[in-house]
Amino acid sequence: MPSSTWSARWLVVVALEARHPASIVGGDAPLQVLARGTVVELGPAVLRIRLNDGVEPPPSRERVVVVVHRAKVELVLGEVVGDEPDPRTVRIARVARAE
Amino acid sequence: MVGRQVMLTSADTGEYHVFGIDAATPTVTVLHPTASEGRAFAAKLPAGAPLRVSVAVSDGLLVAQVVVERWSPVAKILTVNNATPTDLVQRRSTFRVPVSWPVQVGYERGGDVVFASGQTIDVSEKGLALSAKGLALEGGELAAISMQLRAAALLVVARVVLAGDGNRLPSRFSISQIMPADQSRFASDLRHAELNMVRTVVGGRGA
Repeated sequence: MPSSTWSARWLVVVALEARHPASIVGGDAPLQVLARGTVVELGPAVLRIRLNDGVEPPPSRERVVVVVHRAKVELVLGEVVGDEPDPRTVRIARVARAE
Repeated sequence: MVGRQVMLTSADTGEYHVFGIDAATPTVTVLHPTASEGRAFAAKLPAGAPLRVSVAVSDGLLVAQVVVERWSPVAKILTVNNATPTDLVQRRSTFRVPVSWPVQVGYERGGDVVFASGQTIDVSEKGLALSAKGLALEGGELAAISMQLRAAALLVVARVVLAGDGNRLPSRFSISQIMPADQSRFASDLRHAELNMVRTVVGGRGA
């Protein structure tokens, strides 16, 4: 199995176990926290964030930065590609890293 | 370089202030402080005190060592002797365009996200310098940056290369994440800003 696939699965497992808090930042003006939740998938191409109770998902196609609050804070740029109703979860396609 | 603003840093104390260049020859440069703090800084500099001059140019950072000749309190000008030739450091692979775009910065602090608003000072396809009141970032940190371009805002993730002081000293960032679909729009707006500068200069000369 290619190492990249192993790496992706490892990331997902870590995220699922830890359920790191996450803030979804976006909005043209002002830049603001659009939603808060917990990470349920942190893969190389897609993030899934389970939203806190009563929080509405950002609109589809919205550019967002997901701030993952863990020991080493991670910022991930992506685009909202959809949401799931129960439990309320938003899917974000992440950009490939430039560095 | 006459008319440009430069940063003067004391080699002894590390204190720095912004000065404008009034006149320059190969051996002597005449500068004026741009703020009262700079005047107080210049007034206490003894003759012979070593200073570092730095200025951002389109393809890098120009630095030189100078020594104080004298401070003239009435004329409010500082005369320095050019101790070393200028040296271009931080050579760049992309052209910096000096543009002032509204910008917002979001970063993590204590489990929350905090925001600061400011203006860009210069922007290239790979990075930017900005000034934002109260911005408190450290070198190596990541931040979400929203730049107001012509049609819409551009959202990127950028890494701090040089942390500013949240006041006059700008923060420098390298862009580490940008949506592929936004790259051409970003490049187009940078090119537009660059062309506007050329038109302004040509128009100014023709007037």
